[in-house]
Amino acid sequence: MIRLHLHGCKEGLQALQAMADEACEGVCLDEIQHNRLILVVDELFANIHEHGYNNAGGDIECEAQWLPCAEDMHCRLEIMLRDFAPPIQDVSKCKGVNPETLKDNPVAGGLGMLLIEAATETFEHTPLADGNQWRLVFLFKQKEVQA
Amino acid sequence: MSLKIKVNSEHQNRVVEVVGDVTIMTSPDLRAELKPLFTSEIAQIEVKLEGVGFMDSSGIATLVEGLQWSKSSGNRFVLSGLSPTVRDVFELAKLDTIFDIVDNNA
Repeated sequence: MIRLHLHGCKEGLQALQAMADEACEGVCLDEIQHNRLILVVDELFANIHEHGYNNAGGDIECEAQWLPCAEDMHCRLEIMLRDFAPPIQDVSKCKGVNPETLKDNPVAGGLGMLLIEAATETFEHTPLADGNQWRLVFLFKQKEVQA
Repeated sequence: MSLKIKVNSEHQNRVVEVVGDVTIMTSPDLRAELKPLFTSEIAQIEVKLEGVGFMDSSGIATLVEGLQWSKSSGNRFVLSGLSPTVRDVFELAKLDTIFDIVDNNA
């Protein structure tokens, strides 16, 4: 398990990406899988920084751990982020734009959450008394996580 | 990583070569270069992405804006040279069928 305590500035993103990289050290992810992992971390961090902290900075705690491979021969990487921004009670704010509506009316907003939802097996938000908890689970076939 | 953007003119067409990562920090630069190109005098605007290794939602959003501008001003808006990772981001967002994307060797 890896724990970081970041100040919510853009430079902190590099540290968060490094944490994701470290979690996957020795693991055979292909280029696209690795890019998705970095992309999702980037998007969630940017959302917390922009919407949670209004670009003014704030603390973020994060940890990453591999869950035991299940009988379905898949392994899961769990990344938890915890911020201390005002708790989000309106769950619709944690949803990405509907890709079906994009076909007829492409819009620039809500794409970050859409990418997070599309690239993860599980994306959960839990409002806390003094912040928010975000849980990301990435799914990989067992053979993909063997060095 | 900084973004390098070069705009080449070919008659009524404009080719925008982009090199670097297109992220929340660099996409405003791309937006600033793209927006003035969408005029009725320009037939086609091609954004060449061979040199882009990473693109996040802000980069995609900038290109979605380009798509909207092209519809307003009547330009053809083309993306080319997408790496597998950048193409995957478009596919995740299901935007790969909305954009006019041509292969590197097209």
